[in-house]
Amino acid sequence: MVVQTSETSQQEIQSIFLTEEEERTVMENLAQANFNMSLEEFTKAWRSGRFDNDHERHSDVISLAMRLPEYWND
Amino acid sequence: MIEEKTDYAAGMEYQRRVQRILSCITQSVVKIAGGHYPNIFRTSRHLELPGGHPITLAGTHKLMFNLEPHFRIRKNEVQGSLYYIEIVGYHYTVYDSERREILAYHWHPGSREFIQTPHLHLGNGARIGFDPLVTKSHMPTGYITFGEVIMFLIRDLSVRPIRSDWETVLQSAFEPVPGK
Repeated sequence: MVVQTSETSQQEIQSIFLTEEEERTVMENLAQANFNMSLEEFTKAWRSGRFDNDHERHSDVISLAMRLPEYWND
Repeated sequence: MIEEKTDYAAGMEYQRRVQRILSCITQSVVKIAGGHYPNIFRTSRHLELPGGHPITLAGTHKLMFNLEPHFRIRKNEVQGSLYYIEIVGYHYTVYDSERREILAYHWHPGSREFIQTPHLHLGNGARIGFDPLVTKSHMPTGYITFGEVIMFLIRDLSVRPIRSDWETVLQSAFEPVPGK
């Protein structure tokens, strides 16, 4: 369900905001494409510090890590 | 400054401003990731290109580019309870035509990060011969706006703009400020 507000139409919202499911799919695909692992595997590896010295893939690591809610909640 | 009556409107206005700047170099559309509920309690959202993948740009070098500004929607309780946007992080990455990273502007201030201030990386695609400068180095920068990155791409890296009024668009761009 999408909340309708007086300022924005439902169509506008759906065209601009990704759903959480859509974003989850993007993250899963990026984890597979860039690290050949599932998002869950990536998250565990990132938490453990496995990518801390992976300078070659630093931008890819940061890109995926910053999408994790826990990145901002720590 | 973005000041809107609803959190939706603030998020959409930010998307609109970034989209306008991006339209100088591509027809790709950025979307707001993180669900249909841009409430102020969510800690971070971001804009992303389709699938989160880099796009190929017109111009001499056939460069590729990716962007991911992260932001929060805040409510200004003092000034009429309007919603505004603050930037909390970003990465803007330029690749060569074979997707080797040339450079990346980063700001990722997560609590576990060794470097939490804005910086620049040079990648293998930059073909710099001095090893310490490539991939490992975090070269300090100030806060970089998205418009500055697009200007740099066009002016210095020979990316071909796709709209004739690109200079006016970039000069008139007004972007949210970084969070404290």
